[in-house]
Amino acid sequence: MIDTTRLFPEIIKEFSHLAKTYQEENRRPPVLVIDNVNRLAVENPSLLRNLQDIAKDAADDRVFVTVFVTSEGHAPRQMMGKLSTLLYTISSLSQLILIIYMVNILGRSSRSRLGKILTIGDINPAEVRDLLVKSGAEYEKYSEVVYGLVGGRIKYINQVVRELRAGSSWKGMVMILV
Amino acid sequence: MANIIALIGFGSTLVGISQVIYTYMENNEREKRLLSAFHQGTVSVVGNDNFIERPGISKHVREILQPPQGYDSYDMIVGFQGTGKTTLVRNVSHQHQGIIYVNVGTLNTSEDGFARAFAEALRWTPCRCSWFEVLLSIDSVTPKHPKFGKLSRLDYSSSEGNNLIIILT
Repeated sequence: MIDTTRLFPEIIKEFSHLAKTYQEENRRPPVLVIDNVNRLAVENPSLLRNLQDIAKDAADDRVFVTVFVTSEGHAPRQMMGKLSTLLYTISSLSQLILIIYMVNILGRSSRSRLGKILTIGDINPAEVRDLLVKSGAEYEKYSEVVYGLVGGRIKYINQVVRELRAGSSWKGMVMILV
Repeated sequence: MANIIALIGFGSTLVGISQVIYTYMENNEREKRLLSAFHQGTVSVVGNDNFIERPGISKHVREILQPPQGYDSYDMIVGFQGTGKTTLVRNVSHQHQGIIYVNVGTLNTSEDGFARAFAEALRWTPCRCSWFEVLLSIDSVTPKHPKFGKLSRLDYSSSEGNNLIIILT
């Protein structure tokens, strides 16, 4: 029987130990990718803060590199600080200075180790055409219409491709997407 | 009689030493197995026939997932829902070693759930604890073993065929 209350710190501790060994052997830090952290921002913000602290400590000690993958919304705001939301509540310059001081000086130092932030956007029309050609040569003719209909959001383009493959009519597809 | 006691003592010592050696070797093997997860990477490719290579973005993702030695920050990949972040990250990660991928599923947002997802990604199992370490940990001669936490009590039960039952919590 595993003591579940100790599982999290135990795994982090062992992961750090293994990361050091890996780095000594390979001269490169291992990377811990944590996907969908936006779910934590909503349902368990304290765990997200905890993970951010662990990521900061690991970066300080050069043990491993953490990469958080998240959707736009609460998670990036929480991880980058709440200055933007606090600014709406201030009414004087002294309050502004105090809040900036609290957030940046007394606030969570884990943000100080936040390095690159890569934003992934929609695909461009040429990439939409490539995707449709890859899905079936006969779909190329729809590329402009599809781009006009759903933009470059891969999720919706894949949905269009699935509907085309299933033999759906354009009218039916538009109904589904809209 | 003395010979029998000596024989039992010798046998017990032999079994005990063998168990300590076996535990040591098994934990060594376990560590090698865990390290192989690092070497091989733990990212499986998303089964998506429609994956399109996005050379511009992939290059940046690759840079983030292959940091140089001494890199002292943590990074973030952000994008609206449905832009293909997960597919892209998993496909790039799959091509490199040293990457452990943990997905925060809808059911593992608790600390315990996350730890289990992490353990699964790492192919982690608790390390074996030899009787010697367990006994030493009673008087805190050695630090408490991570697998068992603190050894709470020893319970001797005659109803169980005179076996010494160690209850660990």
